[in-house]
Amino acid sequence: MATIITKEQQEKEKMVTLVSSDSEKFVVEQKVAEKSHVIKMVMNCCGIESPIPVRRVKGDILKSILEYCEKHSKGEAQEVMEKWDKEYMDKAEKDLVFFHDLMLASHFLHIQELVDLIAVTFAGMLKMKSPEEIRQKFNINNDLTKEQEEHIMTTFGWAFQPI
Amino acid sequence: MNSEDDHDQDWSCDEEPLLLEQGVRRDWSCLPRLAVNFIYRQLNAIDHTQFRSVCMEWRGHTKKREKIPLVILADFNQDGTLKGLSLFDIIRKEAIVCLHRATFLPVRHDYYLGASHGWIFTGQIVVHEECDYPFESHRVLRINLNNPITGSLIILPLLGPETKLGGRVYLLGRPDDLEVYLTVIYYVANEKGADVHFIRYEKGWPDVQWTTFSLEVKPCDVVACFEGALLCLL
Repeated sequence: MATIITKEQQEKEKMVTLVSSDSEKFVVEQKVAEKSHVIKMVMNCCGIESPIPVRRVKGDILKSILEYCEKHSKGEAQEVMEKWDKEYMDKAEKDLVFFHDLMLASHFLHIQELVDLIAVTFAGMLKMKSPEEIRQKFNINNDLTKEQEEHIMTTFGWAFQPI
Repeated sequence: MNSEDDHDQDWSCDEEPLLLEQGVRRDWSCLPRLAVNFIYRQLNAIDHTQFRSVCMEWRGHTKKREKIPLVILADFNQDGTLKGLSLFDIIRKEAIVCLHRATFLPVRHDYYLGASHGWIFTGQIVVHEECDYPFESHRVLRINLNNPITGSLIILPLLGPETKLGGRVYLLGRPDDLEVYLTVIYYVANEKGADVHFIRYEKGWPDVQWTTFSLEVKPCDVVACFEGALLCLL
């Protein structure tokens, strides 16, 4: 005799608990968590009954990432998503520490759409900036040798060929 | 989560970069190789170069771009001078509009004289007050070499006074020597044939003058520089 599963139970079974590095718990739908290729693999092999630790991602970052995944699992119109993504990135790029961690976490959790979105946003932050301006904005030391710097700046013969 | 270790190959530096606390400085030079790869593919030719020039890590994680020439897009005023200048990146399929302001603001009312070796050449008629030429010949041609990637600008000694407009600039010599030593040719057709002006320009040696010779036969439009010689098809 087949077991009767109520709709409520079905919904409940689709929920998964994720635990951040600082022990914050997040209960999300399986399809939301599946946006991360890494979590999807873990769910496939270990199931969703017990909480899944996401040890390398802190609570505030995981929360933001799950917010992204949830929005992107709804299948809304492209225009709506683009607008939402833009607002999401506008907010994220204001805090460089947060943006940095979000970038690393999206790579670590392997969420391709978010990786691409962050790459485009980061590239936008680099556009029309000299190497020195970029170093100042992101606090990066210039460890190139003088020869390397000169070489980069003097080998652009290909840019415009004689006609 | 045992699969964690499998993904360590994606990290270039810190083993546990995501556990950093708020307030701890993030090391932007230590981004995962994959992240750098995704980012640099979003950059046009000039931004890509600037990106690779930031630090060793970013440079090490990125490849040189394919050497596909940029297309020069120019808009002209009614008098034939430049109204606007931008470049088109064929790989990214995007126009690079905002070039170095310091280099390109002065170019706006110049005449376009060609491009090669990664440099763009423009000319400007200036009134040269200090020279001994007759009054009507005070107008001389000033040729500028602009490098839109480095932002370098070389202003050549004045050429005049009878120099015609509508010619083309050619360079002799290796591109990477340009800032130190270069030979510039300004070739312009006239009624009978063509005038060829050339100068061996060295940085920090401003007294050097242009030399001019004329071709009695009118060449075709086909003019090129090859291995240190100016070639004209007669």
